[in-house]
Amino acid sequence: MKIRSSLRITSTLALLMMVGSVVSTALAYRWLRQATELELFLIDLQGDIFERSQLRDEYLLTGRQPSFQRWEEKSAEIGRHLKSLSEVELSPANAILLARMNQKFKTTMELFPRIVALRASLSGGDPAGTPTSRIEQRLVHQVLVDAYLLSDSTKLLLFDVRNHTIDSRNKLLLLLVLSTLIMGLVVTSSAAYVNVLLSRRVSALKDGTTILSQGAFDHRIPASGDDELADLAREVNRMAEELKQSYGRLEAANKELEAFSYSVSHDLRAPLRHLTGFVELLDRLDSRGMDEKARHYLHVISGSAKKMGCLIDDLLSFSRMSRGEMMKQSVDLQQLAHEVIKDIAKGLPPQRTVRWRIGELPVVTGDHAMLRLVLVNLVANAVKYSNNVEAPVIEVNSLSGEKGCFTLYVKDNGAGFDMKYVDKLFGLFQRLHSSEEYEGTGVGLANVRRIIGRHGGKTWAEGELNRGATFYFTLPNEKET
Amino acid sequence: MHPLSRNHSPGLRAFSLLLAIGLAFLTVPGCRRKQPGPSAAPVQVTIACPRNISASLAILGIEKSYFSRQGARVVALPFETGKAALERMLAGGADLAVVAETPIAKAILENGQLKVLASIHQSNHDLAIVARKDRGVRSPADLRGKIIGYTKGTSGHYFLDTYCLVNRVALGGIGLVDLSPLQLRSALLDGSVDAVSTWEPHVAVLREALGPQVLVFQEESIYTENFCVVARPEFIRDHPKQVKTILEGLFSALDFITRSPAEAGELVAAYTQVAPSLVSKAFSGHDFDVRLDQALILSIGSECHWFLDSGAVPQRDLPDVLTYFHLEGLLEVRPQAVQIIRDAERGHR
Repeated sequence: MKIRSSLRITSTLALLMMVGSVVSTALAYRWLRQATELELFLIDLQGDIFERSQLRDEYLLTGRQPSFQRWEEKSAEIGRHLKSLSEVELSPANAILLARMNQKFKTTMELFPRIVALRASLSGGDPAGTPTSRIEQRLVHQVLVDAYLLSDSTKLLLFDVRNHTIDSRNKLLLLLVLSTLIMGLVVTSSAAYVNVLLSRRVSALKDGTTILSQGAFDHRIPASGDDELADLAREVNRMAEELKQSYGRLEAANKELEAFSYSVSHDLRAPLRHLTGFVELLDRLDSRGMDEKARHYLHVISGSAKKMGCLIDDLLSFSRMSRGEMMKQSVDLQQLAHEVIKDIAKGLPPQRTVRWRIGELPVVTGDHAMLRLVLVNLVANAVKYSNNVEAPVIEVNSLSGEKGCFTLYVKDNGAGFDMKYVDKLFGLFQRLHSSEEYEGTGVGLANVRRIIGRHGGKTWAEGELNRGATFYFTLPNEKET
Repeated sequence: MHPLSRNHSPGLRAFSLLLAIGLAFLTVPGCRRKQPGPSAAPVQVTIACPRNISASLAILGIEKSYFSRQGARVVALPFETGKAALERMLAGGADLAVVAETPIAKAILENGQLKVLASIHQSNHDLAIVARKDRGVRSPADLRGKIIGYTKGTSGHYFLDTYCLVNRVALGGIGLVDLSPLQLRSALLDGSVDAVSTWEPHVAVLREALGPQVLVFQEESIYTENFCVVARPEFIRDHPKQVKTILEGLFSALDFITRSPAEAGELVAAYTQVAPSLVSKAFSGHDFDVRLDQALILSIGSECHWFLDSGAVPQRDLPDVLTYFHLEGLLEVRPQAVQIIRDAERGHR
C-alpha cells in the first residue's frame, strides 16, 4: 500500500472516530441533560407535594378557608406536573409508579374536598346518628395514606431517575475514555506502522546510496512493497544499473585511451632518440663547417628534443600511475616525509636554506611508492615555488577533524597562485607560471591527484599570489572505516 | 535477571515456599472450611397463602420456585382467606402467611407473634359491596335494613364499615351475616342475603352470575387495601437466609408479572381456582409492589383503632405498629423499598 494511501486511511479513520466520538458524546450528553432535567422536575414536584401536605394540615387544624384555597391551587400545580410527566417516556417500572401517583392524586382530590364539604355542611352529627368526627377521621386517615403513597412513589421515581442520571454520567465518562483510548490506539499504531515503514525504507535507501556512492554499482537496494519509497529504491537501482553500464563503457574507453597514449609515448621515444642521437652526431662531426646561425638552430633542435623527451617520460609516468597495480601496505608518513625532505634538501644549492616544519603525521594504508611520489611532488613543488623567497618555510602536517580519513597538507610561503585558477592546478600539463619562470611539465600535481584518487582520497589547494600555497590531500583512515 | 530464568531471586524462593506451605495447609482435611454434607436435610418453609389475586406475588414465588433458590423445600398451604392463613401461622402451622392488613391489626392487638416482612400489593379496586337490584337496592342508602353478608375480621369487613360510614348508612340498621368468601357467593346467588362485602375474584364471579341484577358499590377513594407477607419471629431469627430468599423471590415475581402478565395470570388462576380471563381482568386494577411504607403503618394503626372502638378486642393501649415490622430483611435486599419514618439510631432514615 502506498504511504500516501496509508496516511490518508489513517487520517480518515481518525477523523471518522473523532466524528463518531463527538456524535455519541453529544447524544450521551443530551441523554444526561434530559435525565438531569427530569430529576430537577421531580425535585420540584416533591417540594409541591410537601407544601400541599402542610396546607392540608393547616386546614385540618384551623379549618380556615384560605388554607383550603391554597391547597387547591397547589393541587392544580401538582396536577399539571403529573400531566407533564405522563408525556415523558418512562421504563415499565416507573410507568407503574407514575400510575400510582396519578391514582393517589385523584383519590386525594376526591376525598379532601369531601372533608371540607363535610365540615361545612354538618356539625355534631347526621340524621343517621353517625358522628361526623368518625367519618372525618376515617376520611383523613385515607387522605394521609394517599399522601404517603404519593410522596413515596415520587421519592422512588426520583431515586430511579437519579440513579439513571448517575448511570448516564458514568456511561458518558466511560464513552469518552474508551473513544479517546481507541482513537489514541488507532493513531499511535498507524503512526508506528508508518514510522517503522519509513525508517526501514529510508535507512535501506541511505545505506544503499552510500554503498553505490563508493562505486559498488552491483549493489541493489531492497525494494519490496508498492509504497513510494519502494518506488524510489527501484528508481535508484535502475540508475545504478545505468551508471554501472556507463562506468563500464567509460572505463573501457579510458583504458583504450591510456593504452593509446602509452603506446604513442612509447613509440615516440624511438624516433626522438634517433633525432637526438643524429643531432649530437652532427654537432660533433660537422660543427666546424657550420656558421653560427646553423649551430644555434642545432642547439634549439637538441634542446627541444630533450624537452620533448621529458614530456614523454612524464606522460609515461602519469600513464603508469593510472595503470599500475597498487601494492597496499602500512606506510608511516612521518618517516616517509623525513626521507623525502632529506633527499630533496641534498639536491639544493648550499646557499639556499629552507626552514622545514614537519608535524605529527599518521600511519596510513597505501602504496608506499605512490605515496612517496605524492610527497616528492608536493615538497618539490613547494621548494620550486619558494625559490624567490628570502626565508622559505615549508610545512608538512596533518589536520584533525574529518571522520574516517586523515587530512594532510604541504604549505609554503612562496609564489602562491590566484585562487581564480585553482581548478586548473591539478590538470595534466596545466601550468600557472611560464617555464622560463619556473621549470616543469605540469604533470606532477596531475599525478598527485591521480594517486590520491586511487587511494580513495581527495585533493584541493588554497593560495594567494606571492603569499604562498597550501596543498591538501586526504587518505582513508582504515581503522575508522 | 530475566523473570523466566531459573536462577530465582531469594524473595521469589521465599514466596514459592510460602505458597507451597499454604497449599499443603489447605489440602489437610482438618484445615478446610466445613461444607454442609450431602446428607443435610433441606430447610422446609411452610407458607400459608390464600387463594386471592392480591397474593399473586407470593403465589408466583411458590409456583415459579423463586422461594426455593437456596435449596429450601417450600410447602404452600392454600386458604380461602388471608385471615385463615394468618391464624394457621399464629397457631404454629406455618412459617409465613400472606394476609391483608386488617387481620394483621387484629393479631397485633391480640399479641400475636408476627413480623411483617413486606407488603406485596395495594389496591383501591379490590373490595366492593355487591348487591341485588331485585332486592330494592339502587343506591348506598338502600342498604339500610338489608341483610349483608361479610367475612368478619377481614379487609372486607373494614371496607363495609368504612363504606357505610362515609355514606352515612348506620351498621346498626343492617342485618350482618358472617360467612366465608365462597359462602358469601352462594348466599347472594340464592338470595339468602341482599348484598355482600367481598373482594376479587368473587366480585367478578358474582357480577357475571347475576348479570343485570347486580349492583356493585365500589368507592376507590375511601380505602386502600394492603396485602402483606408476615412471618413468625422465630423463623426470621433462625432462618435469615431463607427470609432473604423469600424477599428476593418476591422481587423476581414482581419482575415476572410485569414482563409476562398473561403467563403470570395463568399461574395465579390455577392456584386461586378462578378462570384466567377473570384474573387478567382483575390484574388491571391491582398495584403489585414489594415494599414497607409509612402508609401501611398508618393503615394498620387506624384499623387497630377501629378494632378497639368496635369492641372486637378487649380495650388496651394502642401498640407501636413499627415494632411488628422486620425492616432489616428488605433493607438488605432493596433499601429504597423501605419508606418508613423512623429514628436515626436504628440506622435508618
